[in-house]
Amino acid sequence: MYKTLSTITEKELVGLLKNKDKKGFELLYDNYSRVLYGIVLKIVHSESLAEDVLQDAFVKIWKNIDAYDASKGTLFTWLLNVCRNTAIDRLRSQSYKHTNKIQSLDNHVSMMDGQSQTQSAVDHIGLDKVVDTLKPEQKIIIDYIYFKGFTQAEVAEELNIPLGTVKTRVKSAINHLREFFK
Amino acid sequence: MDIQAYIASGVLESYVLGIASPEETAEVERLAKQYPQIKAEIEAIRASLEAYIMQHEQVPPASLKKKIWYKLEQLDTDEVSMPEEISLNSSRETKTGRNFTMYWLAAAVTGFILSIGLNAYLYNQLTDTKQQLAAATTRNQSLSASLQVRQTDYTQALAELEILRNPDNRPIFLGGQEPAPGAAVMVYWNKDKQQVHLAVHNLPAPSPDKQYQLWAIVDGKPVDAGMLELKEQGPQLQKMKNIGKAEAFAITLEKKGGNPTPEGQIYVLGKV
Repeated sequence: MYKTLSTITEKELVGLLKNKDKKGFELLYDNYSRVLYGIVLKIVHSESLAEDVLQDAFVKIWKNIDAYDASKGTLFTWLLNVCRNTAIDRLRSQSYKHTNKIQSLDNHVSMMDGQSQTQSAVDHIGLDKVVDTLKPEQKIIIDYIYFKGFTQAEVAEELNIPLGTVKTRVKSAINHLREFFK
Repeated sequence: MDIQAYIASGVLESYVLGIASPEETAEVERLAKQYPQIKAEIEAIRASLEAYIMQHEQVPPASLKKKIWYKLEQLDTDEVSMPEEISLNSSRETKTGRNFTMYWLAAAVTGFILSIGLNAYLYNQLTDTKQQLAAATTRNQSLSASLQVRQTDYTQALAELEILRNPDNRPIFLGGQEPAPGAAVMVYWNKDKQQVHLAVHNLPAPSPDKQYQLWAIVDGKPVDAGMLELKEQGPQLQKMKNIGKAEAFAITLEKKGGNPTPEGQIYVLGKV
């Protein structure tokens, strides 16, 4: 649970947002932008793209705040999901374009092989400050699912492990986190 | 049901991470309402996951806040909001259905607005057409009325021409006398049929209480041959009373309606 705001002020914040009050935006941004920017950056691996995505996510939050139902979960959970979905959607539409580009390049036989290396270069921009809370095999599974939006089946295929193992590893990773953040 | 086994199955973790199947998701949400223990477990899983995510915190560029606020201000002035389903678990499906509805709604609204425009346009067109039709109808009526007049005139002219052409109708010129030397009237007399027609070429306009009267002179005595109906438009043949015998014709100015014997002055006179 995000502790910066108490539940009462969270309710107030939602009220301000629903009224399209600038103070609501200020509070929202000051309290949540670091963590939201952090996960967006972690997903898209590009600072300029992350800015763009966060802007889109704030637009969605601003427009759809009425759809937020406090009885179903905290504002923070909702904000995280908006940002995560926006970032993953963006990444997918970009990689789709990227794939198309690669395919069209493949048609040109004279293209140099070195060109395809540009993709991996951006992967290291979002530098992890995260303490080693998880074992590498747990971390990778959570990251694939949460930050890449992979399904269980996709994870199983990507890591070349049985579907059942994905479930167990997810379970043990979460258990580990629960221990750590107790 | 065995709540502990359910919790141990890992389905709750999948649910929180948004990778549970739709059926699993529905089941978890149903059971969470039913069993506080499951609900608490979900909260704990979510809290630990969010704590982990928070570790990835990064400070965004300082300019971003202003940029975003500028964008939001623009939205408020020029955009209609299109709500989008954002669920509270991490699941990423179900958006298309809602979006689809919104597209339909947007299409319907657009269609409606276009239809208002089109209706207004068509209504104007209809009004114009109605006005044009009314104008055309009026013009048609006036043309047909004038045609009727022309036809009457034509029929009458033909009839008059027939009279003039007929050699049995003897033309008699009635010349002007003392009160109006320039006066001139033609009488066409068909002795066999006893018909008398008359055309005024020139006669001074009588005062309103007076009227010209035609006389046939028979054996030196005037016999009434009818009153003249003077019309404004030119010389027209007027049918008079039947006369079988006459030495001369004369017109006198009498009181309106005429006299049994002439009392006024003779204006025109012509011998047969």
